[in-house]
Amino acid sequence: MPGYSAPLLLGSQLTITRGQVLRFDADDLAPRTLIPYEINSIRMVAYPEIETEGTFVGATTDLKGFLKWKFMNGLLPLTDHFVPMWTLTPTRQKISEFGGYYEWRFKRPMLIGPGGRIDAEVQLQANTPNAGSTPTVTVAIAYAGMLRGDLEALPRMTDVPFCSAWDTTVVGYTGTANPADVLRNPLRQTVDVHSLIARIQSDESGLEGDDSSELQVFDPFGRVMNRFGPIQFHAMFPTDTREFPYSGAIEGGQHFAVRLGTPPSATYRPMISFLGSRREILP
Amino acid sequence: MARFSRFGQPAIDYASRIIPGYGGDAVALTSQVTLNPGESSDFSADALRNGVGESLQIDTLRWTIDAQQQVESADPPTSAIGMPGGGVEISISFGGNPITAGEVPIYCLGTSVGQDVEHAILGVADDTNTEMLLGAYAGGIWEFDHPLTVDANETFSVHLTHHGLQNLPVVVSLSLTGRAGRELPRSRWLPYVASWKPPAFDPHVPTAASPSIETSTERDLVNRINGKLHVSRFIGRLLRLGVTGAPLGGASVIQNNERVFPSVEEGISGQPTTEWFPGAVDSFVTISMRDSRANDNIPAAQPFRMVFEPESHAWECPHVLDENGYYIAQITLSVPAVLDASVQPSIAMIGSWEGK
Repeated sequence: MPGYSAPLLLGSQLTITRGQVLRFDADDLAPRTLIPYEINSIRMVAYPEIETEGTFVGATTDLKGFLKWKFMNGLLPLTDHFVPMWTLTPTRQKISEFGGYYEWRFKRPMLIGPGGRIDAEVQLQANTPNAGSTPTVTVAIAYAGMLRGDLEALPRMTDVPFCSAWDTTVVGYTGTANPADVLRNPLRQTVDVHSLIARIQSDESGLEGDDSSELQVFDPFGRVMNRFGPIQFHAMFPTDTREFPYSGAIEGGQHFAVRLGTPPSATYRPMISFLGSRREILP
Repeated sequence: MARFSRFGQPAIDYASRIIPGYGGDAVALTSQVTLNPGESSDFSADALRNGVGESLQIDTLRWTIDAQQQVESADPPTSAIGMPGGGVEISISFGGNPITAGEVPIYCLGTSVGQDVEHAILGVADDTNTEMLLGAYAGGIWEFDHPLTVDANETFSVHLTHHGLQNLPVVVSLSLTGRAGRELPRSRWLPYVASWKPPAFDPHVPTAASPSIETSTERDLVNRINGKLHVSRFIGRLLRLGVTGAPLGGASVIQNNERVFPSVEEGISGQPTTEWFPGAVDSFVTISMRDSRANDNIPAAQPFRMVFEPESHAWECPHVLDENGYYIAQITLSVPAVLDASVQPSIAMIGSWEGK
């Protein structure tokens, strides 16, 4: 008798302070049944638990790139180490970001075998601004998907999303050019890339940084994307989406190269990522 | 066809909305009724009757609610108000088949497209009042997953109730839009929605040790049709009534001073201010859910906004639910000292079935 599919939403919550790295409770991030399931988006929300009136982490409860995330499904990474939260998604309606809500929507659902789970770790940037005392930030995560009891047999392969980011808040990555170990494909499988995302953060104010400075982006084969030379951030990554749609593959060991016209500073922290997916043998 | 399209959004079956070879003529069946607070009324069956002499393919239900300033007055309000989508409930049947399982809050019928277009304020500015408002209305669109065939002379039975959350009369307009033509293909699909609206929370009551909990029953989010229901999404809305300030906290220290937007519905004398945008309370109201097949769909209670994302207020999860199948949802509010007068949740299950 064939089974059926059913909605599924898994989630967990923790509190974090500046400079900490914490792992979410693994028990909360797997279904309470041994049947395969698929995940099609990762939802993240974060807000300061205590704020002095009139002061915020940023001008809103939106924690932008101050929170960094790392996701693993067993030995399969979904992220290249920690990636800033807001580089996992194009900009949505402001109402969602102002509420501290971000969602990484997978291009294709990721199937996970019985007993498997996506582990999540989160890090709060050490110099996250706040005018009050040490902020305690509540962070929640949820995986939205479906229980797939209707599958008569597990497929051999599944789609696994992937994100790699150049985060200029990280020590050693603050030059005008990204090193080869970020914005890269560290895997053996080729990753189909569908988006480049760029955001600029001010570490001092917590607001968005100036997006009028220029940059150049080179594809994994070293070809410049804008043949007419450097282009302003907001011209390549418009304000309403911060996304540059990209349709191409990045092979193992390749990386995108970005050249900034202005060196990163405390008020100008570009964060650039690519989003894609690859095929992997179902663990 | 892939079950999910770009970025994991469920694929809308656009192919079924495009009629091959012949598009037909655009048609809208419309009706309007004025409701005083606490009043119920039926739409005119004749107004919603297919009188064009040939089959219709209805694919969209649109509604607007226009708030009036005074009982039995056509004068528009001088201040903007919101909430009517949560304060007016609708029940629809068609040809003996229920489209709604009982009454459903009208703003739970469809996903939100843009928060800023869900309501509107009509106004002009003068030199002393930059917001001299002339009127206010709310609106929404329910796009059916599959077109609904309406044969000649068939009609809809629509009943509306104004629950009096605000003591203002409203004009409710309904429009069923689609195509007309003899060569249109027939559709056997019917839309369906069931909802659960628990008693409103009194936010002053719960404590962390003794939270307020509401649980739905087997008769709320249930498949009452004679067949399998193809559920496309759940919709969850929180309506805050009597908003008087920051939603949580006290004097100088505020727990999560989040107010996504300032109160867009300025208080009218004697009326509570309302908000139905996502706010901090979306993080403090949690929900868990299980189904009639003993699945833990949301095993551990999750913040409301994590389930019903803030833009669309929807959880897209296309699947099939058996006849008489149901979901049990449990909503908890555990944080005290909310300044709102009350918080009204409502959850709907939207789908369609082949029954015509």
